[in-house]
Amino acid sequence: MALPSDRTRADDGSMETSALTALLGDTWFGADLPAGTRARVAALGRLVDLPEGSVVVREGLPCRALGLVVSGRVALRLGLPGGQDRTILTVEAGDVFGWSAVLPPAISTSTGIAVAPSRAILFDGEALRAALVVDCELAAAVYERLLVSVARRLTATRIQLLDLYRPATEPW
Amino acid sequence: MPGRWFLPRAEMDRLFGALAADGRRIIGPTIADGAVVYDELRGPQDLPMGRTAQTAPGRYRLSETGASRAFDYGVALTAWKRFTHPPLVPLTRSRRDGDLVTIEPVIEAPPKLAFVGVRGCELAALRIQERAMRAGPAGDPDHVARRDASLVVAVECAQAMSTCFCTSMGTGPEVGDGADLVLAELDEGYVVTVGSPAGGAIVEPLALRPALPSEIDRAGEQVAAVRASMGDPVPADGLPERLRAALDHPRWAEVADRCLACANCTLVCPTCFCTSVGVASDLDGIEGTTERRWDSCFSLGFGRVAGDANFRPKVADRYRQWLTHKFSTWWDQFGSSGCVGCGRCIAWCPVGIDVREELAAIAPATAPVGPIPWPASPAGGRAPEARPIVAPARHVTATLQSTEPETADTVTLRLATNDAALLAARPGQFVMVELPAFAAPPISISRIRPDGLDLTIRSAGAATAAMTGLQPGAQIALRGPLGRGWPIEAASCQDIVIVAGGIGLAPLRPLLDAVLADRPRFGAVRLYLGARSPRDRLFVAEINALAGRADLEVAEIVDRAGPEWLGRVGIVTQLFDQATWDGSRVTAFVCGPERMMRATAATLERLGVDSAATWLTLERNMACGVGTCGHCQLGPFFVCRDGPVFSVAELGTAFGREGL
Amino acid sequence: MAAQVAGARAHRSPRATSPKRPRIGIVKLASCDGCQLTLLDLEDELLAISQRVDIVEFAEATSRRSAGPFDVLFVEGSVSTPEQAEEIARLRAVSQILVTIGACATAGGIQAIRNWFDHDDIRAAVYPQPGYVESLAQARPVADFVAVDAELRGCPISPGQLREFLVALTTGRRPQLPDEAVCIECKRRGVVCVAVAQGIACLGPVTRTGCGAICPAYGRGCYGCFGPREAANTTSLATWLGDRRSAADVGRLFAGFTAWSPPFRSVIDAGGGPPGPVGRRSANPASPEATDA
Repeated sequence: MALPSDRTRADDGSMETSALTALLGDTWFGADLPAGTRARVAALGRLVDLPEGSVVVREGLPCRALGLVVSGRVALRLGLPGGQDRTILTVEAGDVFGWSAVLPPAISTSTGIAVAPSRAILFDGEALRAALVVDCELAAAVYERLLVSVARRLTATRIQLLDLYRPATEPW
Repeated sequence: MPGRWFLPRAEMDRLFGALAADGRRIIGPTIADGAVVYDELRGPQDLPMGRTAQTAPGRYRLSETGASRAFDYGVALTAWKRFTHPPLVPLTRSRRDGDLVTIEPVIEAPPKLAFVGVRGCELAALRIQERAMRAGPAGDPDHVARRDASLVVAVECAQAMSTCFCTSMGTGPEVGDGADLVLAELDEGYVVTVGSPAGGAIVEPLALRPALPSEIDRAGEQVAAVRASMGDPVPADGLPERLRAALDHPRWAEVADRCLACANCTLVCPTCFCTSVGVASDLDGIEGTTERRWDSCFSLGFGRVAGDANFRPKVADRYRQWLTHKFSTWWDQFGSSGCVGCGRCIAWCPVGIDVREELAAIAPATAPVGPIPWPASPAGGRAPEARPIVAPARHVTATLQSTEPETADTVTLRLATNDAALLAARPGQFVMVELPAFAAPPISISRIRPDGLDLTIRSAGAATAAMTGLQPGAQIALRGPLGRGWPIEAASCQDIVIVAGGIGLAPLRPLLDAVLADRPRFGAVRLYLGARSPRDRLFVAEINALAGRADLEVAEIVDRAGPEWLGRVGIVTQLFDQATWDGSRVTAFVCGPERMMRATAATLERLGVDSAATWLTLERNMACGVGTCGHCQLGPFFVCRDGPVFSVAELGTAFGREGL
Repeated sequence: MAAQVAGARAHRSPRATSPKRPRIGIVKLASCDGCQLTLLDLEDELLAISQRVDIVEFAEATSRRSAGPFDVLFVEGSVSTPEQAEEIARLRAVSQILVTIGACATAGGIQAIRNWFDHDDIRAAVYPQPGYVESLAQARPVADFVAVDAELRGCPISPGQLREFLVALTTGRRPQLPDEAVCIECKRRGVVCVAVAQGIACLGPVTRTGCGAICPAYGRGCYGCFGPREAANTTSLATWLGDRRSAADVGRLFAGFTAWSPPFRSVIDAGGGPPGPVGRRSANPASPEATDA
């Protein structure tokens, strides 16, 4: 994962875990977590600014963090020959990207680009994976939310595959 | 002229003479090619004297009775609809002179006819079909004229055929009300009962003697014997509900293995009324004609819609449509059974499928009634709307002021007209759009202006391609406005959610216009738009302007995009499936591909939006747009006149059910 | 040219794209000429038609010849020789729209009956010197060889349908060629069903209409010359007919001008094949054999 610039890291390096925990509680991902679990999750994350146009993850490269969009929009793109990239999904506030970080081999399946000035909480992939092994309660909460998010995305992808708005021939 | 009279057999020609003197051509039974058919009679000599018929599933044979009676033949092959709802009726003549278009209805003064030999079941059938033809917003003036020009001389049955079951359907064998004259045939002549002033006027100059009590008694015994011989073959009590609950019965697939989908049953049925419109023209499409032809729900093209999709691709679907319509949803639509028990469909089915047997298998009297798939009586359950009555052949010529290309294949036509009915159109209504020499599709109105209408048309076939290719100054013919529009009043003081997918935004735009024109009346207004790609969005400039308003929330999403698009990508339900607004205060209006509407309705329901407050608009194949051609039926509904706007609640499981 | 005759194609307004006088060709393969004649049967409109379209190839009617290109090519006849197989491929390449006309081109025709028999035996039975005759083992419909854009069925085709097709081409609307049973036409016309009223075998319910129900109107059963319609439930009809006939006789009823169409073919096979003039049956009539002996 391409790391955000030093400038932004310095900006957010001072955000305390408690503030992050509160922020997390305002998102869909973190809203229904028990307080303790939420704090443990927050401890693994840090808030970053993603300027418009910044690449947060590249298709085919290691995916080092699970991202939770707090504001703005991250577009997920697949590359096609001739530079014809297609955006297949956008991730809005409250939804996650980079779930590949949680699953070995932790290689990103798409390229994520902030298409608007955005902020996201990035959870370090290695630390998160380690925590999920030992912390069952954390694991249950995180995997459930990841499943819901990925399932929603899969359902959407299937509908997109049907191409319901495609041009049609009519009987007249 | 009350009472009963007697017409001796030898004087039958006097009755014929009286009918002819009334300026009527006499249609009645006669023998042709091995069957009794209805055709023009020169006199009583053309009647099928001394004949009866033996019928069985798939079989009809005439035989001699040895008696000199004329009406023992049972039920003829022909149904009287041949004369009240003819197989081929010219509809319009059109002409294109450069840009100018004229379309005129062909109005034929129907011939004055006398129907001689109408059975009790057939009289009921005439009444039933009449109700069907007059039930829509426009009715069928041709049917009305033909029926009004016919005098009915009913003849009571003295013989039932093995395929008759009028007793079960409550239509015979006794002749009910509505005939002008009723005859009961005895060996020596006819007991004549006058049923109407018109009938009385025919008979009075004949100065018949009153019928003797013994003659009247014998006539009564005769028909009572017929009734006794028939029994009650089809338990009709509760049949509509039992059938409706049996839509998934395995028997449908079994009968489909035998059914040839040849349409014979629907064509011989005296109440079936489905038709299609055929178009003809010269080589340059300058002069055109349209005609209406008998069609059938068994035809392949009957259920076809955009995308070459077909709502009833399998024969099992079509057979189910026919049987459930005839015996169940006809009640919802017209307040009676559609079947009169004449048995023609049994005799004239080339492979002898017997509806009595099928009903007994699918909906036997002992069957428990399961959950009803849709609420009963849409016609009765909803307050009738005041709609302008539009004659089906009333074409209004509108002139194209300008065109606005929306996407690669979609164009908005801005049409000018000063027709009061069209300008009074309500959001959600549609028009039938006709160009000479082309079939006429239904198109939703995409904007209503003080001086005209907008139509946003996608070029997907020959007719729509011709329409999107028109240049300003060209004329086009419209019929309408038709259908039930969006119930905006129901959203007063409510929050409004509008969800549009693709070209589904077109019928929603006038709704949005109306809401914004009266903005304080409504709560929060949220517009969710889905499209295939950024280049497939409609009304882009307008939507961008709306997005800037503070009193409206607009969110867009596309299925796919290139890197230049910085907006949302995904499916339209993703715009609101995690919303936190209060669904209980929302009235929703949805339009798009049917699958998208279903997903949207389900998502809205999870958010607490009442299914009775979720409105969508359906699309079906339409030829008439006014409830007489039968194409647009969905379960008990006619999409053209009960809809096209429906609430999810009133559709019940009719919405999205496969093969309905 | 109006392109919307079959299948899903991009639709463009014909006024914007069609050439003023489309180039029309009419050719034949193995056939009797009757379908081409139908154009000449449109006597009253022949002049208007020949002015509105440019008939550049129609050997039966004009000495004007062209090898293409064609905007619309009407093809009569089945592919029965190696020469014809090559020719149809060449014609397809030079035609914008290819329309097969008649039972031979759309279904293989009566000559397809030979497909059930051993190719050598048939040729030996017919020709004294079979070595001089080059033919394919099977006479097959044109669509087995090239993509076909539209078809007009019949033996011969219906003048009304041909006219409708030409008008659809020149006006840009979709041709109305309904895929319904002959029964619809019989009932519209008021013809008494010969099957039900007289027990005459009639293929009308499984045959596509377009002929105006001629045969039943004259008291004989339909013999399926327009070929099977959609959802042709020949199995059910064959079962019904088989109550009064042997399977072989039922098969014979379907072994006519459109015998090779799959729904009819299966009934013929169930009856042991069509009555044959000669010798051995082909081991596997359904297998495509591209070359002759």
